[in-house]
Amino acid sequence: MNDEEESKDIVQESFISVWNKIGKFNIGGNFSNWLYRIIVNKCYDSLRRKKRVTMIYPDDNNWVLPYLLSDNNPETEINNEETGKIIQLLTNRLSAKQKVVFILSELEGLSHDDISEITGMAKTTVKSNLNHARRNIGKKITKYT
Amino acid sequence: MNNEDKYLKAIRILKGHRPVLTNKEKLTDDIMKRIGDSSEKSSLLEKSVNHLFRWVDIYWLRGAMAVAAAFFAGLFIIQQLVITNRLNNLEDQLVKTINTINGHDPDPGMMQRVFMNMIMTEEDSIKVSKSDLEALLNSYLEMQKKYEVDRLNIVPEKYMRYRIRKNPKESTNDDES
Repeated sequence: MNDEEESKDIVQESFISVWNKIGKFNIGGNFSNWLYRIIVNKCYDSLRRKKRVTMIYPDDNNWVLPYLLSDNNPETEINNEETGKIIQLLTNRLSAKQKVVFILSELEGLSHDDISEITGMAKTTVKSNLNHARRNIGKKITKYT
Repeated sequence: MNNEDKYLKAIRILKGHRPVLTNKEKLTDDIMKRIGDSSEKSSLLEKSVNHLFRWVDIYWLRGAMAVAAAFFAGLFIIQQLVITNRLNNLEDQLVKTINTINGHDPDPGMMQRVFMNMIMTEEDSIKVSKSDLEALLNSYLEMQKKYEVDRLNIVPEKYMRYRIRKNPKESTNDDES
C-alpha cells in the first residue's frame, strides 16, 4: 500500500469484516486463505479509492537496493521503513494484481493454488502475473545495483 | 553476483525481515472499539426492526393479515374482470355506433338514440312518441332497403343500354342466339 497509516486502517477494517462475517465462514475451509482474501479485497478497495486521487511512484529510494545487496554487507539488518521502501521500489511499476501475486507467492510463500483461491484468479493467470512481476523486479535490480 | 542471485538475495532478505508492528496495543484497542461500535449499531438496527415487526409474533393477527391479504387479492382480480367486461361492452357499443353511422347493419335501438340526438336540441326541443319514432325508423329502413334493391336493378340496365349503343350488331346476335 506504500502507506503505513493506510495499512493500519486496512488491518482494522479487515478484522471488523472478519468479526461481522465469521458466521459465513465455512468451517471446513482454510481460515488463513479466507483472511488473506478479506485483506486482499480491502487492499483493492483502498487502491481503487486512491486511484481517484493521484498515483505517485516515488523513485527516490534507489539508494536502498545497492546497500542491501552489496557483497561486503552479508548480514544486512534493515528496519521496517527500509523494508517498506525496498518493496515499494521493487513493485511500484507493477499492476495491483501482479503486486498481490508477487507478495503472496514470494514474500508470504503461498502456493499457486492458495493464491488462486485467495485472489479468484485462474492458476495460469497467477503464474503469468508472477512471471511478469519477477521479470519486472529483475530489471529493477539490474537498474539499481 | 548475477541478477538471479541478486533477486533471490533480495527476496531472502525481505522474507527474513518481516515488518514489525509498532504500537500493537493501540491497533488492538482501535479494532475492539470499532467492533464494539459496529455491534452496538447493528443491535440498535435489530431492535428497531424487531419493534416494527413485533406484530408478526401474534398468531391471530398474522392469520387475520393473511386472510385480509387473500381477500384484497381476490377483490383485485374481480375488479380487473369487471373492468375488462365493461371495456368489452363499451367496445361492442362503439362498433355498433360506427356501423350505424356508416349505414352498415344499423341497429334500430342505436338509430333511435341517434335520431333523438339529431332532432332534439336544448333550445328547440320537440316531443316525439316512441311508437311514432319507431314507425319513422322502420319506414326509413324499409326505404333504404328498397333503394338498395333499386340501385342493384338499375345498374345492369344502364350497362346493357351502354353496350347496345356501342355495338348494336353484337347485341342483336346475342339476342338471336
